[in-house]
Amino acid sequence: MKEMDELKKKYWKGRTDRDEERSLKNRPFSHDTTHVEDIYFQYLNEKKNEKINFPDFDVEIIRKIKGQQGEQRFISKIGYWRLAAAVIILITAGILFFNNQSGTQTSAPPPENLVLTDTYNDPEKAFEETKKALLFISNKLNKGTELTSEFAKFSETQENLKKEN
Amino acid sequence: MTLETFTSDVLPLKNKLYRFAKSILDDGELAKDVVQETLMKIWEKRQDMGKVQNLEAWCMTITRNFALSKYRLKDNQNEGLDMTNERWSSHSNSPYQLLESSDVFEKIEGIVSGLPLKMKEVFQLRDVEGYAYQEICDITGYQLSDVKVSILRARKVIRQNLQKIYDYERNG
Repeated sequence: MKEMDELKKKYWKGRTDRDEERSLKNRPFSHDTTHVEDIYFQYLNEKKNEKINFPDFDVEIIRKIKGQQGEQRFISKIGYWRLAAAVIILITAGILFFNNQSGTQTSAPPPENLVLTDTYNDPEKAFEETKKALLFISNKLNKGTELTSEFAKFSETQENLKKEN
Repeated sequence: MTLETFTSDVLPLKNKLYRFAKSILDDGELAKDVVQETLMKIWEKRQDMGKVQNLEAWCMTITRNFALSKYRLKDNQNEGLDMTNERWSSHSNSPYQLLESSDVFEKIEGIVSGLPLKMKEVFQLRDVEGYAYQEICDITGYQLSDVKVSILRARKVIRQNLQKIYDYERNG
């Protein structure tokens, strides 16, 4: 009894270890105990035995987990179907493209009257052709400068008018 | 982790998780919701189980996180209703109500639920569940010195209130 009182004092001072605290809580209590401190330790002991009091709690959890698993399986099945569809589309597109390519190469030969000629074998002819092309371009460019000369005329007249005024 | 392992290793912790959540929330229904959310979270995170050293402490930490977020929500709602309530007393009975209660167990329950949150958590884990101080630190993230001080203060408050009950019972 005295030992227990010492232990209680130690407990209130926060100096007890877990074994000592266990012995304070787990000792036998008489049902008609009126000592508040004893009731307190009894309370601690009983508090540890409190259970989640909802019927079918475990069943509910397992049901939710299984539902989640089923959902995940369904989603992954959808994923597989999508993947399979994408692969089929790619393969079909590949085959069509390949057929198309090889078809254009074999089925449409170049027209016989089309003769691809070039001038790189005759440097003089190449020079003449280049000259022609450059002259053509410069003519076009000169047309552009003709327009700018007209603008120059316009600004000149404007200047003259300003002077007269 | 298979469903069988979950059923054998995690599900039996439900009562402990429930008591811890209830000690934070003072509400059995909300505590049940917290335990459900916790168990579902554990199942979702089952791939990480290999990294977990102490399964029970890990489960308790997840429970604590869910319970605290619900507690804050509840606390905000209470504050919205009555801004004069102090955090200390917002979840507890008045001393008068405590003394008037016929059942001493109920009176003790009232004292414990009136403790500040940190004291309540530490008290539940140490004095009810019997965890070692270091385990409490692992679960709550508090410093060791903090845990020891909190448990000492909680016991002091409880003892003072028990004394009041004792005096009331003796003197009528």
